[in-house]
Amino acid sequence: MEKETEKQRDYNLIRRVQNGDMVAFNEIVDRYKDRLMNAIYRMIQSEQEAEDIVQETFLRVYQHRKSFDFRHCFSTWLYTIALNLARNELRKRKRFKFFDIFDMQGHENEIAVEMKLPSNLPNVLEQAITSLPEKYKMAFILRDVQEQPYEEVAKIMNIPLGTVKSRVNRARALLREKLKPRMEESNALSKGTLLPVSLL
Amino acid sequence: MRCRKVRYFLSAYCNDELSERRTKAVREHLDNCPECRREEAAVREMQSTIGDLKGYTVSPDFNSRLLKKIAEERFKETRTKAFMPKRIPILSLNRVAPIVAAACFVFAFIFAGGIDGILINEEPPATAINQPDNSYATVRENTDQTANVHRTKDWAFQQQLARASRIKDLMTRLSNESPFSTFVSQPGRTPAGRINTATAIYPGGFRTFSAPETLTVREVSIGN
Repeated sequence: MEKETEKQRDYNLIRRVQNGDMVAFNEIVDRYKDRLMNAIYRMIQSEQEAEDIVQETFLRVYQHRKSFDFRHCFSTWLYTIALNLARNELRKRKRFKFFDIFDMQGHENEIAVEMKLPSNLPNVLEQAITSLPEKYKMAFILRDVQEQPYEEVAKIMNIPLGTVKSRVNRARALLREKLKPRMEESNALSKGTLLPVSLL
Repeated sequence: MRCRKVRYFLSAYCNDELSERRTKAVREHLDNCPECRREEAAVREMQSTIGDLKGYTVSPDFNSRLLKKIAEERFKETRTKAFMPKRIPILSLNRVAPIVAAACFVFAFIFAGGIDGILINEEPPATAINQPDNSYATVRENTDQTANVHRTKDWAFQQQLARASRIKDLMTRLSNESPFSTFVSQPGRTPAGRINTATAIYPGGFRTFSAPETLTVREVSIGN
């Protein structure tokens, strides 16, 4: 019911934008900017680039406002644009691999220390999500982090519903595997079990 | 249901995504299997951790930067419309018709002249011998008509230039009054088609400026 109201509200806003109402456009931006940022940042892993993609997404929404099809959900349209832009960015990265000069100056130890820092469960989960293969990551982020219905995820990713379900399930299983040692460790700590010195 | 299958369905079970029949089967298994129950607890813990993930937010100047880009986009649309009106005057019927008529006339004359040139050594028809040659006078008249057509076309172009210059004046005025604003709207027009208003957008609101002759300023603020 709530989702239905949200959907209706989106339709009203985009209709107003089509009639030239900039206040409605501002409202759309405020409603979605952080949601998109959360999804795109997890795909791209760069705050600046993720923000640029979110900006570009809204710009394209504005440019193509007249061609929005009211048979579809507005959020689906928005996510599709954003994820296509993110995919393009990732493809570009694959084509041109950048080397950080910092890596070449013997700072490997500092980097290793930095990698060890996230120790609480959300941070470990965040790292585990980052390390997922792209197709699982996208499905997982949309379904479990952004809480989009399976049907919408299928439309956004342009793949069959069954494939989305299996990818999300696979992503969850992979995450569970990655989190297992950390969760067992924290359970053992909470129960007061003696741990090897190396883990402390 | 065996442990292996239950583990496969466990995350979907914890998210209430299974059918009633499967949910029942998994629940029955969990009641009898402590190992799978531990796994279920772990999956539920992971799920609750998703809710604790850090939320990323855009930078504070996100909206103003975006609105600036949108303003540029709107200006581009306006500029295109100013120079390329929907109805291109040179192609409208009332402008094309005289040009076509004049062109036909000129072609007809050239063609006739050519025929005359070709037939110069031939005997003129007996009926035309005693008639005066007034074709030169006709040509002069026709040339004047063509000149009129060109003047009409120039006038349309001048109108376009004047419109563009009015937009430019308004923009200069906007940037003088509010240095951080950007010209956004398609200019408002009087019923006669003259530009009389333009809207500027700047962090915090819109402002509509009128053309120099009316001198009224209307301000619209974005509702917070």
